Amino acid sequence: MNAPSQECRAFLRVVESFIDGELDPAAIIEGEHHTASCASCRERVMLGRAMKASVSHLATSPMGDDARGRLRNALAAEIARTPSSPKRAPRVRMVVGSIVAASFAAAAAWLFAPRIGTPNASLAEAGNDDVLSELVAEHVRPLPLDGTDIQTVRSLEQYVGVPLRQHFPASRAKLVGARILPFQHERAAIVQYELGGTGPGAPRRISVLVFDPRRIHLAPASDIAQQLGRHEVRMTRAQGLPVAVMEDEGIGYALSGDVDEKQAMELVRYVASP
Amino acid sequence: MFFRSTRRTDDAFLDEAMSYADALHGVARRMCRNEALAEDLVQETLLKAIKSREQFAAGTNLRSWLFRILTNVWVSRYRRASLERATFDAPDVDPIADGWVSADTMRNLREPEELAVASLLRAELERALELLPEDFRMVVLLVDAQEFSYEEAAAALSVPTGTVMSRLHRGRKMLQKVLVEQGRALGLAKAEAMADSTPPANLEAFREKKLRGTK
Repeated sequence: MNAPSQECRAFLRVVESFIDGELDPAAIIEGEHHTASCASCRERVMLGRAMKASVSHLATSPMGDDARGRLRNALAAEIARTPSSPKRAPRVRMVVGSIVAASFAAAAAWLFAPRIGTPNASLAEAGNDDVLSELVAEHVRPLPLDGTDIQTVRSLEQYVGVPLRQHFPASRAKLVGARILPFQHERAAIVQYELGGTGPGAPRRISVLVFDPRRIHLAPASDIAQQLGRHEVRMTRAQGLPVAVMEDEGIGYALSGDVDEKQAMELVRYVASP
Repeated sequence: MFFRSTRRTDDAFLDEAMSYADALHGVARRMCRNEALAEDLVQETLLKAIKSREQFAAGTNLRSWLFRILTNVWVSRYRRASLERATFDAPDVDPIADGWVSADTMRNLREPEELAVASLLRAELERALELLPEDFRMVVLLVDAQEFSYEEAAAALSVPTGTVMSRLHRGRKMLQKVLVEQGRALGLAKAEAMADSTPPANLEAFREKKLRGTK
Protein backbone atom coordinates (compact mmCIF):
# COMPACT_ATOMS: atom_id res chain seq x y z
CA MET A 1 0.00 0.00 0.00
CA ASN A 2 1.05 3.59 -0.51
CA ALA A 3 2.53 5.67 2.25
CA PRO A 4 0.37 8.59 3.35
CA SER A 5 0.82 11.75 1.30
CA GLN A 6 2.04 14.98 2.79
CA GLU A 7 -1.52 16.26 2.86
CA CYS A 8 -2.62 13.11 4.68
CA ARG A 9 0.16 13.47 7.22
CA ALA A 10 -0.89 17.08 7.87
CA PHE A 11 -4.48 15.96 8.36
CA LEU A 12 -3.50 13.04 10.58
CA ARG A 13 -1.76 15.46 12.93
CA VAL A 14 -5.13 17.00 13.75
CA VAL A 15 -7.43 14.09 13.03
CA GLU A 16 -8.31 13.50 16.68
CA SER A 17 -9.21 17.13 17.25
CA PHE A 18 -11.23 16.91 14.03
CA ILE A 19 -13.12 13.87 15.31
CA ASP A 20 -13.66 15.51 18.71
CA GLY A 21 -14.96 18.73 17.18
CA GLU A 22 -12.17 20.78 18.73
CA LEU A 23 -10.92 22.48 15.57
CA ASP A 24 -11.88 25.94 14.50
CA PRO A 25 -14.43 26.19 11.68
CA ALA A 26 -11.85 26.90 8.97
CA ALA A 27 -9.83 23.83 9.90
CA ILE A 28 -12.98 21.71 10.02
CA ILE A 29 -13.88 22.77 6.49
CA GLU A 30 -10.36 21.99 5.36
CA GLY A 31 -10.56 18.57 7.03
CA GLU A 32 -13.91 17.84 5.43
CA HIS A 33 -12.51 18.83 2.07
CA HIS A 34 -9.58 16.46 2.51
CA THR A 35 -11.64 13.50 3.73
CA ALA A 36 -14.03 13.94 0.82
CA SER A 37 -11.21 13.15 -1.57
CA CYS A 38 -9.09 10.74 0.49
CA ALA A 39 -10.60 7.33 1.20
CA SER A 40 -7.93 6.37 3.70
CA CYS A 41 -8.34 9.47 5.88
CA ARG A 42 -12.11 9.22 5.54
CA GLU A 43 -11.98 5.69 6.88
CA ARG A 44 -9.62 6.83 9.61
CA VAL A 45 -12.17 9.41 10.74
CA MET A 46 -15.05 6.94 10.54
CA LEU A 47 -13.10 4.34 12.50
CA GLY A 48 -12.23 6.96 15.10
CA ARG A 49 -15.88 7.93 15.42
CA ALA A 50 -16.93 4.28 15.61
CA MET A 51 -14.41 3.71 18.39
CA LYS A 52 -15.68 6.73 20.28
CA ALA A 53 -19.21 5.38 20.00
CA SER A 54 -18.05 1.95 21.19
CA VAL A 55 -16.28 3.42 24.20
CA SER A 56 -19.35 5.48 24.96
CA HIS A 57 -21.47 2.35 24.76
CA LEU A 58 -19.09 0.48 27.05
CA ALA A 59 -19.22 3.26 29.61
CA THR A 60 -23.00 3.40 29.65
CA SER A 61 -23.80 1.74 32.90
CA PRO A 62 -26.95 2.97 34.63
CA MET A 63 -27.15 2.39 38.35
CA GLY A 64 -29.57 -0.23 39.51
CA ASP A 65 -32.81 0.93 41.11
CA ASP A 66 -31.76 -0.33 44.54
CA ALA A 67 -28.41 1.41 44.39
CA ARG A 68 -30.03 4.58 43.15
CA GLY A 69 -32.56 4.47 45.99
CA ARG A 70 -29.82 3.95 48.57
CA LEU A 71 -27.81 6.77 47.06
CA ARG A 72 -30.71 9.21 47.10
CA ASN A 73 -31.52 8.31 50.71
CA ALA A 74 -27.92 8.86 51.75
CA LEU A 75 -27.80 12.24 50.01
CA ALA A 76 -31.17 13.32 51.39
CA ALA A 77 -30.01 12.36 54.87
CA GLU A 78 -26.88 14.47 54.40
CA ILE A 79 -28.99 17.41 53.26
CA ALA A 80 -31.26 17.02 56.27
CA ARG A 81 -28.21 16.89 58.52
CA THR A 82 -26.57 19.93 56.98
CA PRO A 83 -29.20 22.25 55.52
CA SER A 84 -27.90 25.19 53.55
CA SER A 85 -27.40 28.28 55.61
CA PRO A 86 -30.39 30.54 55.07
CA LYS A 87 -29.75 33.46 52.78
CA ARG A 88 -32.23 36.03 51.82
CA ALA A 89 -33.08 35.83 48.14
CA PRO A 90 -32.06 39.00 46.37
CA ARG A 91 -34.85 41.48 46.21
CA VAL A 92 -36.02 41.81 42.68
CA ARG A 93 -37.38 44.80 40.93
CA MET A 94 -40.66 44.62 39.12
CA VAL A 95 -40.75 45.86 35.56
CA VAL A 96 -43.90 47.32 34.25
CA GLY A 97 -45.52 45.74 31.25
CA SER A 98 -46.14 48.40 28.68
CA ILE A 99 -49.59 47.17 27.88
CA VAL A 100 -50.74 47.57 31.41
CA ALA A 101 -52.39 50.72 32.54
CA ALA A 102 -50.96 50.43 36.01
CA SER A 103 -49.00 53.44 37.11
CA PHE A 104 -45.22 53.36 37.33
CA ALA A 105 -45.37 53.85 41.07
CA ALA A 106 -47.65 50.88 41.52
CA ALA A 107 -45.56 48.76 39.20
CA ALA A 108 -42.38 49.55 41.06
CA ALA A 109 -43.82 48.37 44.34
CA TRP A 110 -43.93 44.82 45.45
CA LEU A 111 -47.26 43.18 45.02
CA PHE A 112 -47.17 40.93 47.96
CA ALA A 113 -44.54 42.28 50.27
CA PRO A 114 -46.72 44.93 51.94
CA ARG A 115 -49.45 42.43 52.61
CA ILE A 116 -47.52 39.49 53.86
CA GLY A 117 -45.09 41.20 56.13
CA THR A 118 -41.50 40.18 56.54
CA PRO A 119 -40.77 36.74 55.20
CA ASN A 120 -39.07 34.39 57.61
CA ALA A 121 -35.68 32.90 56.86
CA SER A 122 -36.91 29.65 55.44
CA LEU A 123 -39.13 31.13 52.81
CA ALA A 124 -36.16 32.76 51.22
CA GLU A 125 -34.95 29.27 50.41
CA ALA A 126 -37.68 28.86 47.87
CA GLY A 127 -36.99 31.34 45.11
CA ASN A 128 -39.44 32.38 42.43
CA ASP A 129 -37.77 30.30 39.78
CA ASP A 130 -37.81 27.25 41.96
CA VAL A 131 -41.43 27.53 43.01
CA LEU A 132 -42.89 28.33 39.61
CA SER A 133 -40.67 25.88 37.79
CA GLU A 134 -41.74 23.24 40.25
CA LEU A 135 -45.39 24.11 39.67
CA VAL A 136 -45.04 23.86 35.91
CA ALA A 137 -42.92 20.71 36.09
CA GLU A 138 -45.52 19.13 38.33
CA HIS A 139 -48.25 20.19 35.93
CA VAL A 140 -46.45 18.79 32.90
CA ARG A 141 -45.38 15.55 34.55
CA PRO A 142 -47.62 15.06 37.57
CA LEU A 143 -46.53 12.69 40.27
CA PRO A 144 -49.08 10.39 41.95
CA LEU A 145 -51.64 12.35 43.91
CA ASP A 146 -52.09 12.30 47.67
CA GLY A 147 -55.86 12.53 47.35
CA THR A 148 -58.44 12.48 44.58
CA ASP A 149 -61.62 13.50 46.37
CA ILE A 150 -62.43 16.78 48.03
CA GLN A 151 -62.40 15.33 51.57
CA THR A 152 -58.86 13.99 51.18
CA VAL A 153 -57.78 17.18 49.47
CA ARG A 154 -59.06 19.18 52.44
CA SER A 155 -57.22 16.90 54.81
CA LEU A 156 -53.97 18.16 53.29
CA GLU A 157 -54.61 21.62 54.78
CA GLN A 158 -52.76 20.61 57.94
CA TYR A 159 -49.56 20.27 55.91
CA VAL A 160 -49.93 23.49 53.98
CA GLY A 161 -51.24 25.81 56.67
CA VAL A 162 -53.92 27.42 54.50
CA PRO A 163 -57.43 26.22 53.58
CA LEU A 164 -57.87 23.99 50.55
CA ARG A 165 -61.12 23.77 48.65
CA GLN A 166 -62.52 23.06 45.22
CA HIS A 167 -61.75 26.21 43.28
CA PHE A 168 -63.96 25.76 40.24
CA PRO A 169 -67.63 24.83 39.90
CA ALA A 170 -68.03 21.22 38.75
CA SER A 171 -69.55 22.47 35.49
CA ARG A 172 -66.38 24.41 34.74
CA ALA A 173 -63.63 21.99 35.77
CA LYS A 174 -63.43 18.52 37.25
CA LEU A 175 -61.28 17.99 40.35
CA VAL A 176 -58.57 15.43 39.61
CA GLY A 177 -56.84 15.54 42.98
CA ALA A 178 -54.07 17.14 44.95
CA ARG A 179 -50.69 16.48 46.39
CA ILE A 180 -48.28 18.17 48.73
CA LEU A 181 -45.34 19.89 47.12
CA PRO A 182 -42.38 20.42 49.44
CA PHE A 183 -40.18 23.49 48.96
CA GLN A 184 -37.14 23.24 51.12
CA HIS A 185 -38.62 23.50 54.63
CA GLU A 186 -42.01 24.70 53.45
CA ARG A 187 -44.93 22.98 51.78
CA ALA A 188 -47.57 23.97 49.29
CA ALA A 189 -50.40 22.00 47.73
CA ILE A 190 -50.96 21.55 44.04
CA VAL A 191 -54.57 20.97 43.10
CA GLN A 192 -55.22 19.59 39.65
CA TYR A 193 -58.28 19.96 37.47
CA GLU A 194 -59.48 18.92 34.04
CA LEU A 195 -61.41 21.33 31.89
CA GLY A 196 -64.40 20.06 29.95
CA GLY A 197 -64.64 20.22 26.20
CA THR A 198 -63.64 18.16 23.25
CA GLY A 199 -61.27 18.52 20.36
CA PRO A 200 -57.51 18.36 20.01
CA GLY A 201 -55.65 18.41 23.30
CA ALA A 202 -58.78 17.67 25.34
CA PRO A 203 -59.05 17.32 28.21
CA ARG A 204 -56.93 20.33 29.05
CA ARG A 205 -55.52 20.37 32.53
CA ILE A 206 -55.14 23.13 35.10
CA SER A 207 -52.91 23.11 38.15
CA VAL A 208 -53.38 25.49 41.04
CA LEU A 209 -50.60 25.94 43.55
CA VAL A 210 -51.99 26.91 46.96
CA PHE A 211 -49.52 28.25 49.48
CA ASP A 212 -49.07 30.34 52.57
CA PRO A 213 -47.66 33.63 51.24
CA ARG A 214 -46.13 34.41 54.62
CA ARG A 215 -43.86 31.42 54.18
CA ILE A 216 -43.42 31.09 50.43
CA HIS A 217 -42.67 34.38 48.82
CA LEU A 218 -43.40 34.82 45.13
CA ALA A 219 -42.13 38.14 43.87
CA PRO A 220 -41.84 38.10 40.09
CA ALA A 221 -39.17 40.35 38.67
CA SER A 222 -40.97 41.05 35.45
CA ASP A 223 -44.60 40.47 34.71
CA ILE A 224 -47.88 41.94 33.69
CA ALA A 225 -50.16 43.06 36.51
CA GLN A 226 -53.89 43.19 35.95
CA GLN A 227 -56.66 44.24 38.24
CA LEU A 228 -59.29 41.58 38.69
CA GLY A 229 -62.03 43.02 40.88
CA ARG A 230 -60.37 43.71 44.22
CA HIS A 231 -57.44 41.48 43.35
CA GLU A 232 -54.29 42.21 41.48
CA VAL A 233 -53.20 39.28 39.34
CA ARG A 234 -49.68 39.04 38.06
CA MET A 235 -49.25 37.12 34.87
CA THR A 236 -45.92 35.63 33.95
CA ARG A 237 -44.53 32.53 32.25
CA ALA A 238 -42.47 29.62 33.46
CA GLN A 239 -41.01 27.05 31.09
CA GLY A 240 -43.32 28.20 28.31
CA LEU A 241 -46.57 28.07 30.25
CA PRO A 242 -48.52 31.04 31.58
CA VAL A 243 -48.70 31.42 35.33
CA ALA A 244 -51.19 33.70 37.05
CA VAL A 245 -50.17 34.63 40.59
CA MET A 246 -52.48 36.26 43.11
CA GLU A 247 -53.19 36.50 46.78
CA ASP A 248 -56.62 36.37 48.29
CA GLU A 249 -57.41 36.69 51.98
CA GLY A 250 -54.02 35.53 53.10
CA ILE A 251 -53.79 32.60 50.69
CA GLY A 252 -51.37 32.55 47.79
CA TYR A 253 -52.35 31.03 44.45
CA ALA A 254 -50.43 30.34 41.27
CA LEU A 255 -52.42 28.93 38.38
CA SER A 256 -50.92 27.31 35.34
CA GLY A 257 -52.09 24.86 32.74
CA ASP A 258 -52.77 23.99 29.15
CA VAL A 259 -54.22 27.41 28.41
CA ASP A 260 -53.12 30.78 27.14
CA GLU A 261 -52.74 33.95 29.22
CA LYS A 262 -56.27 35.14 28.53
CA GLN A 263 -57.80 31.84 29.56
CA ALA A 264 -55.57 31.69 32.64
CA MET A 265 -56.83 35.15 33.61
CA GLU A 266 -60.44 34.03 33.13
CA LEU A 267 -59.86 30.94 35.22
CA VAL A 268 -58.07 32.65 38.04
CA ARG A 269 -61.17 34.72 38.81
CA TYR A 270 -62.81 31.52 40.06
CA VAL A 271 -59.92 30.92 42.43
CA ALA A 272 -60.56 34.10 44.38
CA SER A 273 -63.06 33.66 47.18
CA PRO A 274 -66.63 34.47 46.16
CA MET B 1 -36.70 34.15 31.94
CA PHE B 2 -39.24 36.36 33.58
CA PHE B 3 -37.69 35.82 36.98
CA ARG B 4 -34.26 36.63 38.16
CA SER B 5 -32.37 33.55 39.22
CA THR B 6 -32.26 32.88 42.90
CA ARG B 7 -30.02 30.42 44.68
CA ARG B 8 -30.87 26.83 44.03
CA THR B 9 -32.60 24.97 46.75
CA ASP B 10 -31.13 21.92 48.37
CA ASP B 11 -33.82 19.74 46.83
CA ALA B 12 -33.21 21.11 43.37
CA PHE B 13 -29.50 20.57 43.87
CA LEU B 14 -30.12 17.00 44.97
CA ASP B 15 -32.29 16.33 41.91
CA GLU B 16 -29.77 17.83 39.53
CA ALA B 17 -26.86 15.99 41.12
CA MET B 18 -28.80 12.73 40.96
CA SER B 19 -29.41 13.30 37.25
CA TYR B 20 -25.65 12.75 36.75
CA ALA B 21 -25.53 9.57 38.84
CA ASP B 22 -25.65 7.28 35.81
CA ALA B 23 -22.92 9.19 33.98
CA LEU B 24 -20.72 9.15 37.08
CA HIS B 25 -21.47 5.49 37.56
CA GLY B 26 -20.57 4.67 33.94
CA VAL B 27 -17.12 6.17 34.38
CA ALA B 28 -16.70 4.81 37.92
CA ARG B 29 -17.61 1.32 36.76
CA ARG B 30 -14.91 1.40 34.10
CA MET B 31 -12.35 2.87 36.47
CA CYS B 32 -13.02 0.50 39.38
CA ARG B 33 -13.86 -2.62 37.34
CA ASN B 34 -16.03 -3.58 40.25
CA GLU B 35 -19.69 -2.73 40.79
CA ALA B 36 -19.56 -2.34 44.57
CA LEU B 37 -16.51 -0.08 44.41
CA ALA B 38 -18.09 1.94 41.61
CA GLU B 39 -21.22 2.53 43.68
CA ASP B 40 -19.10 3.56 46.64
CA LEU B 41 -17.14 5.96 44.45
CA VAL B 42 -20.32 7.57 43.10
CA GLN B 43 -21.81 7.84 46.56
CA GLU B 44 -18.69 9.39 48.01
CA THR B 45 -18.51 11.80 45.09
CA LEU B 46 -22.09 12.96 45.47
CA LEU B 47 -21.85 13.17 49.25
CA LYS B 48 -18.84 15.42 48.90
CA ALA B 49 -20.77 17.51 46.40
CA ILE B 50 -23.73 17.81 48.78
CA LYS B 51 -21.46 18.79 51.64
CA SER B 52 -19.80 21.44 49.51
CA ARG B 53 -22.92 22.55 47.66
CA GLU B 54 -22.75 26.09 48.93
CA GLN B 55 -19.39 26.46 47.23
CA PHE B 56 -20.91 25.56 43.89
CA ALA B 57 -21.73 28.60 41.83
CA ALA B 58 -25.22 28.25 40.45
CA GLY B 59 -25.32 28.55 36.68
CA THR B 60 -21.89 27.02 36.22
CA ASN B 61 -21.22 23.54 34.94
CA LEU B 62 -22.37 21.07 37.60
CA ARG B 63 -21.36 18.08 35.48
CA SER B 64 -17.74 19.23 35.27
CA TRP B 65 -17.72 19.99 38.97
CA LEU B 66 -19.05 16.53 39.85
CA PHE B 67 -16.52 14.78 37.62
CA ARG B 68 -13.77 16.84 39.16
CA ILE B 69 -14.83 15.63 42.60
CA LEU B 70 -15.07 12.06 41.29
CA THR B 71 -11.57 12.31 39.90
CA ASN B 72 -10.19 13.67 43.17
CA VAL B 73 -11.92 10.98 45.21
CA TRP B 74 -10.71 8.37 42.77
CA VAL B 75 -7.13 9.55 42.95
CA SER B 76 -7.05 9.88 46.71
CA ARG B 77 -8.99 6.80 47.70
CA TYR B 78 -9.44 4.23 45.02
CA ARG B 79 -6.59 4.31 42.58
CA ARG B 80 -3.98 1.65 42.96
CA ALA B 81 -0.72 3.13 44.13
CA SER B 82 1.38 1.87 41.29
CA LEU B 83 4.41 3.24 39.53
CA GLU B 84 3.27 2.51 36.03
CA ARG B 85 0.29 4.85 36.15
CA ALA B 86 2.62 7.82 36.23
CA THR B 87 5.39 6.61 34.00
CA PHE B 88 3.91 4.04 31.68
CA ASP B 89 4.98 4.68 28.16
CA ALA B 90 2.46 4.09 25.42
CA PRO B 91 3.51 2.66 22.06
CA ASP B 92 5.09 5.20 19.78
CA VAL B 93 3.82 3.51 16.67
CA ASP B 94 0.39 4.56 15.56
CA PRO B 95 -0.78 1.57 13.54
CA ILE B 96 -3.27 3.58 11.55
CA ALA B 97 -1.78 7.03 11.34
CA ASP B 98 1.58 5.62 10.35
CA GLY B 99 0.02 4.21 7.26
CA TRP B 100 0.37 0.49 7.58
CA VAL B 101 -3.35 -0.26 7.75
CA SER B 102 -5.38 0.04 4.58
CA ALA B 103 -8.74 1.74 4.20
CA ASP B 104 -10.27 -1.71 3.59
CA THR B 105 -8.93 -2.96 6.88
CA MET B 106 -10.27 0.06 8.72
CA ARG B 107 -13.66 -0.46 7.07
CA ASN B 108 -13.65 -4.11 8.11
CA LEU B 109 -12.78 -3.18 11.66
CA ARG B 110 -15.53 -0.60 11.76
CA GLU B 111 -18.20 -2.64 10.08
CA PRO B 112 -17.42 -6.35 10.22
CA GLU B 113 -19.84 -8.33 8.12
CA GLU B 114 -20.38 -11.05 10.68
CA LEU B 115 -22.18 -10.32 13.91
CA ALA B 116 -19.99 -12.72 15.85
CA VAL B 117 -16.88 -10.89 14.69
CA ALA B 118 -18.36 -7.56 15.74
CA SER B 119 -19.03 -9.03 19.14
CA LEU B 120 -15.44 -10.29 19.43
CA LEU B 121 -14.10 -6.87 18.50
CA ARG B 122 -16.32 -5.20 21.08
CA ALA B 123 -15.14 -7.62 23.75
CA GLU B 124 -11.54 -6.96 22.77
CA LEU B 125 -12.07 -3.22 22.93
CA GLU B 126 -13.61 -3.61 26.37
CA ARG B 127 -10.61 -5.61 27.54
CA ALA B 128 -8.24 -3.07 26.04
CA LEU B 129 -10.07 -0.23 27.77
CA GLU B 130 -9.71 -1.99 31.10
CA LEU B 131 -6.02 -2.51 30.50
CA LEU B 132 -5.35 1.14 29.72
CA PRO B 133 -3.33 2.93 32.38
CA GLU B 134 -5.75 4.74 34.65
CA ASP B 135 -4.79 8.28 33.68
CA PHE B 136 -5.31 7.46 30.01
CA ARG B 137 -8.51 5.56 30.67
CA MET B 138 -10.02 8.44 32.61
CA VAL B 139 -9.35 10.90 29.78
CA VAL B 140 -10.72 8.53 27.15
CA LEU B 141 -13.85 7.97 29.23
CA LEU B 142 -14.44 11.66 29.82
CA VAL B 143 -13.93 12.72 26.21
CA ASP B 144 -15.32 9.72 24.35
CA ALA B 145 -18.04 8.52 26.68
CA GLN B 146 -19.08 11.72 28.44
CA GLU B 147 -18.34 13.99 25.48
CA PHE B 148 -16.29 16.45 27.53
CA SER B 149 -14.40 19.06 25.59
CA TYR B 150 -10.64 19.01 26.08
CA GLU B 151 -10.97 22.07 28.27
CA GLU B 152 -13.70 20.51 30.42
CA ALA B 153 -11.69 17.31 30.81
CA ALA B 154 -8.63 19.34 31.78
CA ALA B 155 -10.66 21.16 34.43
CA ALA B 156 -12.12 17.91 35.75
CA LEU B 157 -8.70 16.30 35.99
CA SER B 158 -6.83 19.42 37.13
CA VAL B 159 -4.27 19.02 34.35
CA PRO B 160 -3.33 21.25 31.41
CA THR B 161 -5.30 20.85 28.17
CA GLY B 162 -2.13 19.64 26.45
CA THR B 163 -1.91 16.77 28.91
CA VAL B 164 -5.48 15.80 28.11
CA MET B 165 -4.69 15.77 24.39
CA SER B 166 -1.54 13.77 24.91
CA ARG B 167 -3.19 11.17 27.17
CA LEU B 168 -6.15 10.93 24.85
CA HIS B 169 -3.93 10.39 21.83
CA ARG B 170 -1.88 7.73 23.51
CA GLY B 171 -4.85 6.01 25.08
CA ARG B 172 -6.61 5.83 21.74
CA LYS B 173 -3.50 4.56 20.01
CA MET B 174 -3.33 1.72 22.48
CA LEU B 175 -6.98 0.86 21.88
CA GLN B 176 -6.45 0.97 18.12
CA LYS B 177 -3.41 -1.24 18.36
CA VAL B 178 -5.35 -3.92 20.21
CA LEU B 179 -8.19 -3.60 17.75
CA VAL B 180 -5.93 -3.94 14.72
CA GLU B 181 -4.18 -6.94 16.21
CA GLN B 182 -7.47 -8.62 16.94
CA GLY B 183 -8.61 -7.76 13.43
CA ARG B 184 -5.54 -9.53 12.04
CA ALA B 185 -6.23 -12.58 14.17
CA LEU B 186 -9.78 -12.64 12.85
CA GLY B 187 -8.66 -12.25 9.27
CA LEU B 188 -10.16 -8.77 8.91
CA ALA B 189 -6.85 -7.07 8.39
CA LYS B 190 -4.45 -7.86 5.63
CA ALA B 191 -0.87 -8.65 6.53
CA GLU B 192 0.24 -5.18 5.55
CA ALA B 193 3.82 -4.10 5.88
CA MET B 194 4.54 -2.01 8.93
CA ALA B 195 6.19 1.29 8.25
CA ASP B 196 7.94 1.07 11.54
CA SER B 197 9.09 -2.32 12.68
CA THR B 198 9.87 -1.20 16.21
CA PRO B 199 7.76 -3.32 18.52
CA PRO B 200 5.45 -1.19 20.64
CA ALA B 201 6.34 -0.87 24.26
CA ASN B 202 4.25 -2.80 26.69
CA LEU B 203 3.78 -2.90 30.40
CA GLU B 204 5.77 -6.08 30.93
CA ALA B 205 8.68 -4.72 28.93
CA PHE B 206 8.53 -1.51 30.89
CA ARG B 207 8.58 -3.35 34.23
CA GLU B 208 11.46 -5.50 33.10
CA LYS B 209 13.35 -2.45 31.95
CA LYS B 210 12.74 -0.66 35.26
CA LEU B 211 13.77 -3.76 37.16
CA ARG B 212 16.99 -4.01 35.20
CA GLY B 213 17.61 -0.34 35.71
CA THR B 214 17.35 -0.58 39.46
CA LYS B 215 19.76 -3.49 39.78
